[in-house]
Order: sequence, then structure tokens, then C-alpha cells
Amino acid sequence: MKRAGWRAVYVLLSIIALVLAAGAPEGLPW
Amino acid sequence: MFLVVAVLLAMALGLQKGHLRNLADVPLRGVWIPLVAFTAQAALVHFPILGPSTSARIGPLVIVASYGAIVAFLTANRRLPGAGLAALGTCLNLTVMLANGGYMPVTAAALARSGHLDRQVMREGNVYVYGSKDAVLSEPAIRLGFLGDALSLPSPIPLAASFSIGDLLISAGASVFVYQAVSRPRVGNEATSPRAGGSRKGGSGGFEGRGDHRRMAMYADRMHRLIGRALVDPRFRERLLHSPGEAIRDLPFTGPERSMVASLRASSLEEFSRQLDAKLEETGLQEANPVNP
Repeated sequence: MKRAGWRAVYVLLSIIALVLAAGAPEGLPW
Repeated sequence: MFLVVAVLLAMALGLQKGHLRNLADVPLRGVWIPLVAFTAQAALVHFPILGPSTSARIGPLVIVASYGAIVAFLTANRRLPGAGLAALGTCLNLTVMLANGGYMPVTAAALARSGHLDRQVMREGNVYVYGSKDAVLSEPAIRLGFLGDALSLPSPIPLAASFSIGDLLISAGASVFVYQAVSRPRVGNEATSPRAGGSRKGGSGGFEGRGDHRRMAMYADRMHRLIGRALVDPRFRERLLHSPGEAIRDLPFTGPERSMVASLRASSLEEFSRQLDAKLEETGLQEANPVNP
């Protein structure tokens, strides 16, 4: 169960990174 | 930043129905790719660690390589919800960036609208926007300007920024993905309770406590039908191997069964079938027997 939790966080971070890497708004990305 | 906020809002909406841990069940390939792509961009383009002139020179290369990686990632995961939208947005952004020297074009007027004129920096005679992939160009000099950062969330709105149509599509695709992934009915161990298990799916029950032989036989029968369909339907077989959770989305399985099938990772149907049999024994029978020995 703990491993599933880490995997979920990993996937969420990956999706956020995708938005930041593919998106290109001006201004700080965070 | 507001693009990420949209994704987090979608996640919050999804959490009303599901659980963050559902994300772990999604058969996402190459999870590391976006992380590497963004890290490279952040280090070499957003906040250049190599010096302004080097950054200006290698920036377009880093951007093209990282966008290529993102497109490959989205292609590998094209069957997942939202992937198509995000891929379209990524391609639109890449198109306009390639048409304008590798950076996202933005006008000084757009920067003024979002209140970010003070973020302009000079590198190799060109003007860029610090912390972003944007280059400041005059309106007549911009190619495909409607795909550039032409839309604005004006200051003083919080998180004000100028953004592109592609940005909107990427954010929408990621939001759809996160919402759908998180809001699915809970699968896994928690679903072994009657509430999340068979009662909601029509009483077949899975492993939630009435583990008699008839129920197990029905369960085995459903799994055998699944393999049977995969044998005669090549497209279904491919989907089942690539993203089993998605492949059985519309099929009549219980929550625990969905969880179990979604957790399988196999490169061939034979291997899939072997894993399924192993799960049938270790999960099904073990959980059924304590209740109905």
C-alpha cells in the first residue's frame, strides 16, 4: 500500500512536469 | 503556474469521488520522461546554469529535444484519457516555437498586460523572459502569432501570465487525465469491503466476503472470457496488454477484479494468462477462504 502511495505521487509529479515542460506560458512556471 | 493549478483543481474534484492512490493503478509508460524533460529545461532554459550566451545558443536544442521526448511520452500513452489533447497542445507549442527560432514568441504588449515587463533579460542580443521559454519579439516579426503567448491572464489577477492555445490544451488534457484517474471507484485492498466491492457492481462481489465456490467460479469464468476475447480480437489483445485497466473499463468486472487486472504487466497474452491464474490462486482463494472455509 505504501508503495502504491509513492507510485501515485510519482505519477502526479510526472503529470505536473509534463504540463511545465510542454506548456510555455511566460513568467515563472511555479 | 495557473496551468498547474488547473490540474490540481481537477485532482481536488476527482478526490470527491476517488482517491489519490488510484493514480498508482494507471498503466502510464515512461513516467520519468516528463520529469527529465522539465529538469533539463529548468536548468538550461528557464534558469540557465551555463551562462546567458551558452543558454541562448543551446536553448532551442534543449527545447526541441525535450518536446520530442514529451511527444514520444504522449504517443506511448495515447490511449489514456487526455493524452490526445495534451499531444495536440504540445505540437502547437512546438510548431510556433520552431517557426520563431526555438523559443515561444511573446510581445512586449502581452508582457505588459500580465505585468511581467521587468522579467526581460538580454542574451546574445535577443530579449528573453526570465524563468520561461519565451523570447520577446515585435508583433510583425512573429510567425504564427496566434499560436504564441497571445492570450493573457492580466495583472492584477493572481498568477497573471500570457499563454498560448497550446498551453490551454495541455492543461486541459492533463486535467482530464488526473480527474479521470483519481475519480475512478476505489480499487485495490479498500475495495474488498462490500461498499466498494460487489454490491455497487451488481453483487458479484469479488473477494469481499462471500467467497463460496459459485462466486469463485463466476469470477474465473469472467477471467476466462477475458482471455478468450483477447485471443480472437487482436485489437482488444493489444489494449489489454498495453493498458489492461483501460481495456476492461466497459466490461462487467467488480472493483477488486479491475484492480487486479489493471496491476498485471505482461508482454504476451500467455504471460498475461499465467499472471491471471497466479492472481486467481493467491488473491481470490486466499481472501475467500477465511470467510467461507
